[in-house]
Amino acid sequence: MNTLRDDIQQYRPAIQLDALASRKTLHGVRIFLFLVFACAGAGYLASTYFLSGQYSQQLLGVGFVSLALWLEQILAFAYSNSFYFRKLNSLLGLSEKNKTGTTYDVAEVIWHNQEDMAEAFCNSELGSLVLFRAGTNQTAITEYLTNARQQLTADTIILPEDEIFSLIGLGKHIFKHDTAFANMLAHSGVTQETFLGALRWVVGSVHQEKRAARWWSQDNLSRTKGIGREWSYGYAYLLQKFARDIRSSAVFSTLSANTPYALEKIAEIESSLARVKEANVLLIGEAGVGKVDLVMAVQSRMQTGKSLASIRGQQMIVLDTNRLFATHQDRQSLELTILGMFEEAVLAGNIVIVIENLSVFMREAENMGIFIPELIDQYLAAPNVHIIATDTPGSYHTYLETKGGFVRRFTEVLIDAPDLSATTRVLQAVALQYEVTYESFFTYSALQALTTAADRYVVEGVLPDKAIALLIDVASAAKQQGSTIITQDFVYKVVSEKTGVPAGPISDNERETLLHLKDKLHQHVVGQEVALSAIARTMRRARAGIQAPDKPLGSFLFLGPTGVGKTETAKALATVFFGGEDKLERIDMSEFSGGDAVSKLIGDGASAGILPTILREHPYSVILLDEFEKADQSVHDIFLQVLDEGVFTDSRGAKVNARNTIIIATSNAGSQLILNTVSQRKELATLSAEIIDSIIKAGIYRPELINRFDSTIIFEPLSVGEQTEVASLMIGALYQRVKERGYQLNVKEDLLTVLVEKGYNPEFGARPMQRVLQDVIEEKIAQKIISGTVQKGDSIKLELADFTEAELNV
Amino acid sequence: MLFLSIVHHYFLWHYSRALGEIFSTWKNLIWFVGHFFSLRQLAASWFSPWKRTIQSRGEKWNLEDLAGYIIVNIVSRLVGTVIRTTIIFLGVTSVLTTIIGGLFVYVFWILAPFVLIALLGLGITLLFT
Repeated sequence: MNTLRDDIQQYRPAIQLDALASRKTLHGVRIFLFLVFACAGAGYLASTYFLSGQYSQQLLGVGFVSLALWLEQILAFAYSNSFYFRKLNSLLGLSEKNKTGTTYDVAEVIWHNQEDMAEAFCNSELGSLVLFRAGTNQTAITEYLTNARQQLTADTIILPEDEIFSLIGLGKHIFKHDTAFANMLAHSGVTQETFLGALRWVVGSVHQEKRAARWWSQDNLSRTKGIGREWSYGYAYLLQKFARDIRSSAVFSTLSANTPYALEKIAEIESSLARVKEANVLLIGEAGVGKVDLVMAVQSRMQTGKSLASIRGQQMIVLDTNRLFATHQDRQSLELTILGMFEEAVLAGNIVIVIENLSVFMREAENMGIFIPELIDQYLAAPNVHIIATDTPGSYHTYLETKGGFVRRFTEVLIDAPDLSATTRVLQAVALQYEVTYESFFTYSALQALTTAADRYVVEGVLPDKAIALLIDVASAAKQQGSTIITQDFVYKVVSEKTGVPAGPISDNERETLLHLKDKLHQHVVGQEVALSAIARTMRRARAGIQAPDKPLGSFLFLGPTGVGKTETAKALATVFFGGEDKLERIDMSEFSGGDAVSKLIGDGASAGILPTILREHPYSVILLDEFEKADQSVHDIFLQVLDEGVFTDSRGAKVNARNTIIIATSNAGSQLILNTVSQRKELATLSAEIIDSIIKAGIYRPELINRFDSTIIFEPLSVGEQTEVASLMIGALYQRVKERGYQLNVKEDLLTVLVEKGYNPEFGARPMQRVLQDVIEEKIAQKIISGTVQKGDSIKLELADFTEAELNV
Repeated sequence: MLFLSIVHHYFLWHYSRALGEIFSTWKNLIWFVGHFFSLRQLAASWFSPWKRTIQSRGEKWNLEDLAGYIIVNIVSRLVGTVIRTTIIFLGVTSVLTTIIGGLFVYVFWILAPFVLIALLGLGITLLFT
């Protein structure tokens, strides 16, 4: 049994040497001594030839001494390296030998405090960095270290026999066995996942730095391309003329090529290229998913001899299709150029032609009258030329699949967007680059927030591309606002500012809004206690993050007679959640009842469709589907998917995101039953199931559709008291309009009471009230203004006595 | 005391583990030189035409085409062979140099502590005489 304390003894000399002078200091000393030696040597030569040998002996002496000391430093450097890089090959998976024991980093961290490894970890350079990346504050760490706690000694760790024990292992051990340490992290809001993520990030980047520094390793030396490998293959002048640098299309660095998923895809591409015939690959993935990065990784492997033997030394040429079309005006010359390029590639024998967005290339050629499948078909089957083409799933399904035999010449390789944890790993490398550019510091939870927010709130693009773009935006915002540490809260703040959607932790103002959401909605809507309470509950659940993230923010089916506040409630939600009534997008569903309903809604290839257009232009809004019951069944089917997954595919095959919207479908279905229930003075809440059942039985909505909504809300007919409140609200709005015209309005209570009586209609809700106000009061005001009986600045007083019976009964 | 402890361990390392590590680096460098000069690939295609520059023989028998085919083929192979031979020669020389260089490094490494002391002694003597 080998304990950690025993194993780190092997590093003692190097750590003691480091205590005397660090590696950085030794590096400086080495350079200084070499300069002294060079100057002394130059001085000696100058003295010998120009100063008749004056001081030459002393200069030679200085030269020898500095050379001796420089040599000593070189030996010390080699000695230090021997420990510093020990076990690195096994740790990076480059060697299967010696897969046990611990690393220099672990020894360096705990050497000076082997009786209390947690303290050693917290006080070490790397340990502190891990804790700061995790988002722990210094006060919490100091408090943790000063409080009485159980101490973990280096004897307690028995090293595994089949694994290198790195700093990651040490961090995990401390977290698992030191409850006070885990509590300290928990009190700082750091979860186990965040701590381990930060640990892997810091330690992983240290390992990569070490890997890059060790230039003499076979791993680094093999990155050089050998000379003369292409001499036994032919030239491709024409192709080179229309080639461009592959790096111009890359999304992120090739670091991601080390992930298991990327390695699997690289192997798939290589084995397809190694086929004897039809060795062509079609990479299908959304734009920004990293297709070209995989192609770059394959290219690098082919050039450095790491790929499959049969494709080593192959040369990739990325076709610049823009230049190709721009420089050819007529069909014939373009055809000749394309044929010439492929002919050259066949003769050269080692060319892999890369065509990005194959369907775009083919469509543009089609516009010039060239049918690419026919033109290049003979070359696709040739053994000496390979094509790697890329395209999006949408274009693949709508265009390429229709080309039948042409697509069968390619091996299809599907590239999925990386999952959230893989995206966070990609961001780790990107964040380190931008920390230098923007002089900022990312915590690990900020990276997690970037990934989550990009996935949830950024509608356009795919991961990791959109997460990287968001990272750059956030870093830039931090620089502008003078914030050096980028935390999770800062990320969500920037996302909220950018999208208008409340994201991340709930702020005090928002907490207030959510807790009193019903009251806020009541400022806009009269009555409907049960309905507004149900909406408030659902929205609170959505904002607390309890609801599934792959659905719209909220979805409601509002049932009830006309004029009871369904649309007003939708407007109120738009105001409260998205900041204004203009964030309400209304779709009249009665327009989607014919045979062309689906194509009108999601497009037909030629036109984009109403729903995708609204969602692309207003991704953060309330979508009001008015008179939903009047839409065709096929339209209901589309909403089954929208409500369930928050996304759907439009007619062009592109994914449309509805996850940042609140979807409200209003319907008068069951109104009569609701009115009857109320007129019989029965409690509506207890009969809601009965009402929904009757709607399902009537075949208006299918049960699976009703179940997809977060809530089905039943709006009650308004009582007389509520109608009076509605009338007051309407009169208030009228006061404002009249005031804007330069008059004061004053409507007496007796007049209002009579108008409410006349406007009250349980079947049609507040709408008759609106009409009565228009016909009686507005008409009177208009008469007074036109007749000149009131002047600007005057007060218009209206009471019951001002109206004749005929005027009140219009 | 600490210094002496380090020096003691250093000498143990210098004449044991370090020799193995130098061998490992030496092996890497020899592999690299062979890889850089593409010795295996060039040897395998030593007499191939230069960049596949060859003329087609023509579909029908024709003396002119045949002569052109033979001459271009021979010239292309000659050019290819000369250039490849040059690189193979340079590559093999470099590999041999690396092997011999490695032996020198070993000799130097073994003598390094003594060389260091000698240089230091000589330097101090020169400075103070």
